[in-house]
Amino acid sequence: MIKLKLFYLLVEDDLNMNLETLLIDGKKFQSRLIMGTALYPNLDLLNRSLESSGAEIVTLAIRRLDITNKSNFLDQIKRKYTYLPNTAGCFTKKEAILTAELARESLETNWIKLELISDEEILLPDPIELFESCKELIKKKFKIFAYCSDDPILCKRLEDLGCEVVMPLVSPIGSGLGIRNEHNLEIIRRMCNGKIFVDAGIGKPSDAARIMEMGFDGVLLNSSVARSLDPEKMAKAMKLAVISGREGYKSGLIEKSKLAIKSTTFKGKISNF
Amino acid sequence: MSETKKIFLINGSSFVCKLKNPNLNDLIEIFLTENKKLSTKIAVAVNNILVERSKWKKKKISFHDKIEIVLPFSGG
Repeated sequence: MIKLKLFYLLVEDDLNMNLETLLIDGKKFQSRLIMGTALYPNLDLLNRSLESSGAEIVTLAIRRLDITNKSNFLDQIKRKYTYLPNTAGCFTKKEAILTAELARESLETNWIKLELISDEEILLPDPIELFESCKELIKKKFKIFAYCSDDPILCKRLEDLGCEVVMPLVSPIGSGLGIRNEHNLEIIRRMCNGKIFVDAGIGKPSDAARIMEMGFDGVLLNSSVARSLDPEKMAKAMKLAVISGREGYKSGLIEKSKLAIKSTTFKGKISNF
Repeated sequence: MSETKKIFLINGSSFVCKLKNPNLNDLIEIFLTENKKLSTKIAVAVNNILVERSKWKKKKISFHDKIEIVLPFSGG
């Protein structure tokens, strides 16, 4: 048991030692996993899950001060994280811009995860409002993480506009449906040279690994960890999946073939009989 | 300062303030004190326009103004 634990610690150490640096807006990060902070059964579990995920960036929402709530949410999560505030729940450019400005004032960051949804049922992003909001917020010196649909042209346009990170979904927020249109994701990765994180819809660690194998720069997730039976363990699984997928991508995946390609030579086998 | 009570709209609810012509800073201070809250990390908008903390004292508030006080919260 002790040997096993030691081996595990060594593997962990090895994983952490070999991680490449990710640069976002001039800041260095080791983790390519951004974690949401919503839906956890309690704050202790949230903190343990964030720790276990290895994430360095966490997302936050901006909401009215609740006078019935005794404590401030931010005081209850560890201070080591870089905050990425979002505009969750915004339907219009006007709402999103004000929320971004309030976030900047509150958290003293010009980072904003720009979310503009089209309706309350499917929560799919509104590309028109998003694009117009991006234009305005870039003028106001925000660094935008643009949450968008998996439309390659839109992703490219957002990148060209100057978004810091473009964040296409793989399926609707919280659905856990995983990758629905891998072909679009392939095109997005081919068309966009900048940072692309996949956001929303991830259900299981293999989804995260697959996304990373495709060469995306990172993954943002929340529900798949927070709503799992054991969030702390799932957070770790997601961390390992992201690392594994990234390492696989960097190692150069083999091309797919419709026919078998033998790995063991037939030469020297004992004869056909 | 006059002691006539006045009603303001803060975060969608009525808030009664004793000051007759408060500036934003006074109003926020009274609101937070009455609700035993600290001003750390709060941001404020008046009539859907951000008012930076450095400008609270200069910002006059009138009866019909809509005040929003926000904080970071859990989010995905």
